[in-house]
Amino acid sequence: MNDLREQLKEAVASAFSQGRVRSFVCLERGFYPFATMPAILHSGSDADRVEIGLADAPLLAKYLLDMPKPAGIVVRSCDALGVSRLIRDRRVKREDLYIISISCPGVVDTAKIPMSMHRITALEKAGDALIVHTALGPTELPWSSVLLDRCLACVSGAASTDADVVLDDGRGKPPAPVDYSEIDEVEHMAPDERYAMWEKEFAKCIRCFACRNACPACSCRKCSLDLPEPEWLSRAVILPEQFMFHFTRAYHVAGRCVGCGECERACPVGLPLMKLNRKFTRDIETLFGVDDARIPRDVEVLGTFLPDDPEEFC
Amino acid sequence: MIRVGVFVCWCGSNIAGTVDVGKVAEEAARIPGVVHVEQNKYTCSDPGQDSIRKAIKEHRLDRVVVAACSPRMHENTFRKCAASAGLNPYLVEMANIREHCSWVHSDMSVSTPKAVDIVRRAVAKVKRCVPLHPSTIPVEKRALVIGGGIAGIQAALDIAEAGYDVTVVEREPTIGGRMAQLDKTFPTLDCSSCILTPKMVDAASHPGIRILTYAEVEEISGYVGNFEVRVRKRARSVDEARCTACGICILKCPTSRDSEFNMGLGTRKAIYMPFPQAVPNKPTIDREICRHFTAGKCGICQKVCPSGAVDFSQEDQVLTEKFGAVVAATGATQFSVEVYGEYGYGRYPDVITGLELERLISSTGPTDGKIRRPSDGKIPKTVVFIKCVGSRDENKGYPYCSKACCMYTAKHAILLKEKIPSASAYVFYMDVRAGGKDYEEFYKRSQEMGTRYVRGRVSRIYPLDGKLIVQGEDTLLGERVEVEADLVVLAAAMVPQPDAPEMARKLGISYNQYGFFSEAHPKLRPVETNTAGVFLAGTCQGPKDIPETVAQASAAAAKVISLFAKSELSTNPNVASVDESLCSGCLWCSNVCPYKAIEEKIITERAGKETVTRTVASVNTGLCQGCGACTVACRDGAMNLLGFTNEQILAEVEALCL
Repeated sequence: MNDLREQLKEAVASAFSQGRVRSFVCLERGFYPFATMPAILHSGSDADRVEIGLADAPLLAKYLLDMPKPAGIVVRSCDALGVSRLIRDRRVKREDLYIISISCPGVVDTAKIPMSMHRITALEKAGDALIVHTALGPTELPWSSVLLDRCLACVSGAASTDADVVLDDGRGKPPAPVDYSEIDEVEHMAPDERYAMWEKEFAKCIRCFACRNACPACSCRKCSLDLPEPEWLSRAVILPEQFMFHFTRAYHVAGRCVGCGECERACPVGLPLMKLNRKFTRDIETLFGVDDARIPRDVEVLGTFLPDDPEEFC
Repeated sequence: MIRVGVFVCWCGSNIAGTVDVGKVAEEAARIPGVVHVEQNKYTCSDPGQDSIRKAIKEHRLDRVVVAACSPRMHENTFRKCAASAGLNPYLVEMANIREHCSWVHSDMSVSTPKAVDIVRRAVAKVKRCVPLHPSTIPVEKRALVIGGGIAGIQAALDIAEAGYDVTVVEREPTIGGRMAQLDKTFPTLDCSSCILTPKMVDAASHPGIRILTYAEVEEISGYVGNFEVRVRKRARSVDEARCTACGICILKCPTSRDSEFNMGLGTRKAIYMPFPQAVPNKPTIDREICRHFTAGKCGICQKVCPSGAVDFSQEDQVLTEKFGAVVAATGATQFSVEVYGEYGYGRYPDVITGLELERLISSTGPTDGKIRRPSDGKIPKTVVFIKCVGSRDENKGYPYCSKACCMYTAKHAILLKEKIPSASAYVFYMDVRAGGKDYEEFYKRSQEMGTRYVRGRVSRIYPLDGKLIVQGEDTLLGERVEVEADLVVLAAAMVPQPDAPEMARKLGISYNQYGFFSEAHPKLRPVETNTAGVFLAGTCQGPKDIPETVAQASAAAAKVISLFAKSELSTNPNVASVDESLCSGCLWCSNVCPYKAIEEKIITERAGKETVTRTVASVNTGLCQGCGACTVACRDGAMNLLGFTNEQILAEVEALCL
């Protein structure tokens, strides 16, 4: 792990020294000793601040939008798809980016560490275990029991190859098959039951828009839901407007969701937003025969007109 | 302050019979913004329109809602009416309380509140309507006709006669098309080439017509009045200006292949003219088989040519030109009858198609007009005709009726009797469709001449002792039928050209499930397409016989002429419009646009201390047809269809739902 961090620091420093970037977004040590937060560096001398991010690491793609270009970014496989999304949506240009991709064994969700282990002083990965250091001494937890949901759904933690620098220590999360069982569950619910579930979930929403702000597919210059006129979304925090908001959000990312799950991670009330997003992803795969619909493409099936479309609706 | 006038129409009893019009008017008067409400027996009538004009002036109306029929029906009427009273025509909104309400309901207690809702919706929208103004675009008064068959020739002649320049692009070495292959034409039995070749010559010699043969349209861009077309004129390897068409090259050429014109029943040389009356009357070298090109040898034609016209080094020419209108007259082809294994086409040489029989009957054909069967050249005594081969058959062919086959089979039977009086003809048919002037009489004539019509399908054909045994069923008698035939003729269906979808893409028009080009409206706009400035003529649009093809070609020409008669075109102002401040430049709109009307545009703007450039979508209003696909694809809400803006539609939804 440290080796990877050293290599990363070096790569970031040389990106600055070679004049490849004017700014660089990465992770740095957060307010807690074990957590990391995003940092935007403006000089190679800041490279020492770079952290890999063992726990609670946010995704960084969205930061690229406002950074001085050329901009550098360090990405895991999930974040790499987000960057690709922004490129395909023409929100950033590939030639304005300097991408360093790293392999990732998964990121710890500290909320999954039992409350009894409060006052964490340090976290450490040791093989297939997470060692939680507290004032009372270290405790070992199985690695897979403490990962972020997105890491559990991660298909492969190997470093993405579409990058200017690829740093892969071979310890990335091994490839795993896609699992849509949670979507099956929702699909098999009776309509009333399903509606009741979403009603319950959406009622929790406080309309903070964190899901939108975190999403690499939600990158409009100005979100249409913020427009005063036409008022697509009323300001009232009432259930019908919650449905309107969440449906609009889900439909706007349909066919473009990269499956990074950052929306869900960002949500302060824990809405299962990926159930909506992944339903669309799976539908696109089954209805249109797209192989792994999370991967951004130059032309997406929902964003194209084909003259030889069968026009079944006529 | 917005002042809306609502005019509620009775439409005689069409609306008033099912909707309480008085109640609708009463409720409409209560809607905020409505300052005047009126009822009319027939709002579209002169007095009805007068009342609108009067009310606009008297009540200073700045928006008008007509609660009447579908906008398809009378929106234009009322727009013109409002315009004549000085109101922008796009400030008129129809509330369809007829098709959407009175016609589909019988209970007045249900339909009246619904009609009120529909009016409420229209008022909500009209209040957000803004004046729209059509812009004008210039028209390039030159027409392109794609296809030089009878449809293309007729359209070209008509357009040129009106004084406009026409270019005909034909991919074969000669114009003439399918009709040139036919022997006689129904129902009058005049000789096909005798009536076609004069038209071919007329077209070729007309000062307003330029014919590009052996040429294909590669790309079409632009829009009505301003198409830019790239045409590839393939190298003929013969200098058309020098060639005197003496034909000695053809005589001396040592290489030959099956003649396409004769449907493979004869041969032609590597340097060839498809038929003697070809226009232009110049030979073409088929580089696929010419020994000079395949083996680097020979060159006899060049040696014998007295005028030095053979030019092996000739290259394809690519022309890019502007046209104001395009007529697609790309024709159709014949169904591949091999699919019907039971008929044995391809295995038994004496099973032929209708077009092959045409060549056998034709005096310019491989048998000099004597009907001889392909296997042994004998004169057939018994001929079986099978209709609907590939048409009206959902399993092996196409479900549609190929339309011309009933008549051409009757014609074949008559011609057979004329050529070989002792011959007997059997026609296996499903139905006889003889709807057309003098068609039924013609069919009767073939019966009177002794043709035996057997209603039923043929189940099997097999050879026996030099004959073909045709087994079928007479479904009228409920009997099995077996005919010992010398020749079997399959009435193969007319099917779209295999590359029709590709051509449709170039033209930016749609086509049906079979590949026939789609007209804008099956009844009322039969020669227009959904792409303005592109018109259809002949069998590319669907199976047709010659009279119908010619009529449609003249109709398409009339459309072109009326387009060219205007000095400028006014464009539909209901087009997409981009709010650049909102546009993120993802260009999904461009990807979903069926008309290629959206391009990317780079704009420069200040962002903080820096000047930055960014991409936004840009609508070419000449190309935009106002379909609205882009507005749906746009997540930013930056794309709006003028006259149907997001704001207007949301207002309508709110008026209906809240």
